[in-house]
Amino acid sequence: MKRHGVFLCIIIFMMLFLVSGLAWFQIKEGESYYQKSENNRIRSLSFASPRGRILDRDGVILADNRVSFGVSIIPEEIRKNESFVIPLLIELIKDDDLTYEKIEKKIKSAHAAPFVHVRIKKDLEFDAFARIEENLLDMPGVTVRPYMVREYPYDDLAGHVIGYTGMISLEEYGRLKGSDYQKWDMIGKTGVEKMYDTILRGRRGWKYVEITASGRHVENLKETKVIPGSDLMLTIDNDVQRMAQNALQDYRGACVVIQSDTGDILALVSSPGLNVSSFGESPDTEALKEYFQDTNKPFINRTIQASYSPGSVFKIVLAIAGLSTGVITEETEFYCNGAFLVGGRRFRCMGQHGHVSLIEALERSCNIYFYNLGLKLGPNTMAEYSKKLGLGQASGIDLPYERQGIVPSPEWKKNRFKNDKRWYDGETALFAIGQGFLEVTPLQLIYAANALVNGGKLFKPKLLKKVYGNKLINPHDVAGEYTDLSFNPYHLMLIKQGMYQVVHSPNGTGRRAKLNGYEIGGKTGTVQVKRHGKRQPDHGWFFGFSPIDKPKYSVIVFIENQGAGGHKPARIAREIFKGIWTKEETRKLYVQTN
Amino acid sequence: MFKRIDWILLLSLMALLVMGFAVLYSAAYRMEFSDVTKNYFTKQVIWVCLGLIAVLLLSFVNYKSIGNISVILYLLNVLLLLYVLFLGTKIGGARRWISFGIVSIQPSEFMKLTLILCLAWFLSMARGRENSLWTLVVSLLITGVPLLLILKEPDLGTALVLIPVMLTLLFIYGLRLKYFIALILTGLLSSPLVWLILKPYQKSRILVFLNPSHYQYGAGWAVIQSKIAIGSGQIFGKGWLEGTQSQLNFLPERHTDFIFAVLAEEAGFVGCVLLLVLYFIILFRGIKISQMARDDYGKLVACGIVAMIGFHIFVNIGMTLGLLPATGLPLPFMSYGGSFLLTMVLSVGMLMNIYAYNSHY
Repeated sequence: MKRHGVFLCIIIFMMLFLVSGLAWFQIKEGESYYQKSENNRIRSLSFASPRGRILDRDGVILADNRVSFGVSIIPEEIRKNESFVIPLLIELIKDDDLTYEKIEKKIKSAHAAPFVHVRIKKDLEFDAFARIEENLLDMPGVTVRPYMVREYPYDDLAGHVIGYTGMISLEEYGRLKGSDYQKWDMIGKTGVEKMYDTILRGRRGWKYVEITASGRHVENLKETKVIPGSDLMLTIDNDVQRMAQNALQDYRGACVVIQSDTGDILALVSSPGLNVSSFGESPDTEALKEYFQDTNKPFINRTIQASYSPGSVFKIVLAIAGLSTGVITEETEFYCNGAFLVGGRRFRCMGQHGHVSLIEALERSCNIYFYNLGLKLGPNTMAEYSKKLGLGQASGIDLPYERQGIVPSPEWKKNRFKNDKRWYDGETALFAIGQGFLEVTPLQLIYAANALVNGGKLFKPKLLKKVYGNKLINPHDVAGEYTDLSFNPYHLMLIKQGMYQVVHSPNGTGRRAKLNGYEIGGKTGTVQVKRHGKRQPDHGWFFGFSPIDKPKYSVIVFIENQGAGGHKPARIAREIFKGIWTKEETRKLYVQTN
Repeated sequence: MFKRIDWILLLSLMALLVMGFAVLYSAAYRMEFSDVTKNYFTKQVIWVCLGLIAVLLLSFVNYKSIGNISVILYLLNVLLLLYVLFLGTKIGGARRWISFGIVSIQPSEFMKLTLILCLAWFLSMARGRENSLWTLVVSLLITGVPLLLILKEPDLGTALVLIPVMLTLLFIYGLRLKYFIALILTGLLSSPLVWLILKPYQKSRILVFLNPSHYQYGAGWAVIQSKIAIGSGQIFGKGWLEGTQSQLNFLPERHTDFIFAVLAEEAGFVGCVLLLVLYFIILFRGIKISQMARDDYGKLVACGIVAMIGFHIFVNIGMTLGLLPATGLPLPFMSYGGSFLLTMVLSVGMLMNIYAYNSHY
């Protein structure tokens, strides 16, 4: 019968329909569904690695970890008992900020992963922790888990050097995707914490387990162990750092203290300082607000993130340039009567020094001498020697966001300026006394000056002294790098002589840095400041080194708007040297008696 | 005697039963039962044995004799349905079972077969009245009464089965096509009304079908997990007892509604095609037997049975693939369920019976 045929056709169509449906799911989309079934049954758990500590050169711990407790809930397991568990939890935690609505909100936002822990409270106080532990059996789905929090035992000591950690941002995560970093990780945001973040963080541990639909554990699959971060030792000396910070605490400015013969940074101070304990996972919002609103801009690390005119400190660069090129000798004299005419403009000097040669010119910081020298050298040579000593380029210090500064030249001006591209002699004159377009960071300046007092070795600044190592990186000491500038030792000696006079001569501009019983050499610098056309108090520099012959320490002090370098900066440098030498004497005594 | 056995049909049935055992064993593998009597697998085996014994006994009776008492069977079954409605065991808000201690039976399942037997008998008596409205009306009544009773339980899926069964019987009977067009039109026009009558959970089934991911953590969960199970089986499957969706509890109702997904995950495309081929053989043989039958009753019963089994296969597998909304219809010879299994085995037994009594000259 024909109807049987029709019926059979319907049956056949139905079968083909089902077969093609199956082919779609199992063949075409099979791989994708297989992946989904794997995602269902495999749960991955990750374990954070303890962050490496940061120590100073004496082994004092500047950045550490402490254990804290957080309360987490598993939304799916709490759901059935929500009505009594949540209020009980709130009562036990006793935190005014933690409300029923907040917890509800967190649960809702986790709806895509109902079996994953959601942390509702960090940094639990110990007695709250004890209370919750006691009642855990009554609160299924609630767990208290320990986690590590970064701690800075000395708060603001070397704040800019150490930096701080914070939650990884979307942008950072985007760049670092595929590596060890997770969406919710802490990452170094500034300072050493940022520069060496990968060494400090170690590596996460992972555990893959098979689970049933209700989240019950079936068996362990793969496991990779946690690798704790490596500890780091810095070149910083906590005593010197504290001294220097205290000395600068009432001012805006910078101070760097280094070991002259190794380039190790003993102290790096930017004032106002930062209390890095205010940052991190549970930041002190009040303190942060103050920092953001502070017109003194505490976030700027003035040793590397701000560049200024070096003023008369720059004269030592001119000195080596003049001697090395033969334009001057130790006997070359210029006449200073307080004024100097360049291109119709009058340039001044601090006093009327009469006939001066190099050493005197340095001792009294005679502008006229150096105007003359500068014009003889020409801006290109001055630029050449500036760059040779590391000015106008990033020093390569292991801190982020370093500024380059500016070393001007006719070439530079041509590229830089749109309108007046000509280089004027007046600009050469200003360049010669460390003003005009020239800009340096305190860090660049100390290393440049240091190269002139330690026999011509221009060191690359570094803060890292030693890496303690872990499975990922071998323990090693970080060697210092320097470039030998091959200056004539006799020339260097002359300059040193001049700098000795600066401090020890009664006419020396840096006589206030004199410390009885110790030899200190140095150079002052004073920078005129104009703001919105109005004259502000001068900025002051003081570069010092001690002892004279084979210097062990170099110091640079820069104070904003507090007047000439020979006053406050020099006095501060003196205090710092006093502290350093005292510490050394004490240590010698200690070693002798033990 | 052996010539009277449709070997192809019998062997296919055996193969299906064996497959069914294997799949159900896997589905129940990690389930916990308080004692052996409650184990799904063991219970299913017992039901199969009972069914096969019943078929054997049945073979001594000519199906036409059954035809003579089909009205009585029908009425008895309707009475059971009434009994269920008022005194049946209530499980999950529905009254569908009569329990006798360890065993419970579902009258609505048997109704599928008894309706075929009764309606086929009526139509075989109505030769020559293919053009009569009267035939249609009585057929609707015969189908409608149990349908409404089953609907009341409530059990929408089972009730729905009766409709294609009735349509197939009328079609093979030879009812004029104009009546079919009328029926289809009436069906389509009344669907908005039907929507209103539907209970909320039945409505939600349709909504979930249309957009399962929207109900991902509620009603849509099952069909999403089912698709994952089926798809992840790929071509060769993950291996017997090795299906992660099934064994780790991601797939709900894996011993009943979604048993096909267990097969698909563990035996892959190959296993599914094998199953469909076996099913097709049974349906094909059923139609052949219908053609072979010399009396109207045999013809009609055979096609009715094919329609019933085919509809279950289509709706159940369609649902596991998310191609049709959930109806709760089980998969023949696979899903756990005593009454249903028995009905299916008896149905095939009927086919064999029709074959046996028509294969001599």
